[in-house]
Amino acid sequence: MKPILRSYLAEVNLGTTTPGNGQNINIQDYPQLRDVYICGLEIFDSNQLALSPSGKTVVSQLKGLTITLMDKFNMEMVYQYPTFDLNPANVGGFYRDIKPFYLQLTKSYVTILDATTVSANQSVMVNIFYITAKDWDKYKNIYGTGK
Amino acid sequence: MVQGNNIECLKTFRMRIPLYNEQGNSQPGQKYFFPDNPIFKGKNIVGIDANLTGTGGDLNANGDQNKGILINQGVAAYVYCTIYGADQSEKFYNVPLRSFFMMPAINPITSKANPRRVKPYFGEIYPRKSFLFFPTGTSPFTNKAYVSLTFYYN
Repeated sequence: MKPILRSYLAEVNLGTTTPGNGQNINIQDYPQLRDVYICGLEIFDSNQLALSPSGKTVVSQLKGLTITLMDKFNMEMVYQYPTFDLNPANVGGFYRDIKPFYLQLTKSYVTILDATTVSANQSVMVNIFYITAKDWDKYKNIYGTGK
Repeated sequence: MVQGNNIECLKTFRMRIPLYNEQGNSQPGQKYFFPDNPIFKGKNIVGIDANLTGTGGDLNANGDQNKGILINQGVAAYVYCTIYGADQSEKFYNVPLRSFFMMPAINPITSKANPRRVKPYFGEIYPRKSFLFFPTGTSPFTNKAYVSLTFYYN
């Protein structure tokens, strides 16, 4: 695990109706996560988070969900990665390091592959580790060169 | 000192953060600020670890310095932690407290100690603006409770 310089907990709410199989839920815009290089992420289920900061219940299972992360060139840098493997509780307490890339959060999304594992108004909690673009030159040696 | 998989530091400091106000009341949605501590001034944090009590926990410290009841893994699932950097900007926003303690201290199947993974949060922090909170609509504990965080720093 590389050093975590900044982190932001993003909430992906599944909406007021239960999503169907194959549906993509886009991640909403967070001003703090504009112009950033993502370096790693972790995702939690209800065993670690009983309620989201906004008071929503958290998904109880991650096996039916994947995440796709896009860069600023609309490239799918992380494509349909199983969210179960991003929960440190399932992988020996580690979080996943990513070779940093310039994140385009609003085009990134969570895909529902098994709708029976989720309910309406639940949230997927994604903790994103990042470096701001203005700090990138200062810290890029820690992470290797990104785009 | 070396702890976990990749944390190497010169010193550690365990901080107790009460989840109640001066009257002893706790309120959902309220910010519970870290005690101001000059020990962090000019120091570089290299990792943060939570200490939890109860089943799977690593510390029995109820009543430590009259702080109250140390929270357990179940209560920790309600608590979030925001830490400010030395430049007083939000550095780590709404970190789930439970994520500082991802693995139970003891493996329930093998009864052996799990390896501890200290989260490598890095940089100078400003404790006076940093805080804990738990969301509105919850009251996960009835007694005066507190959080214990161990900081690894150089």
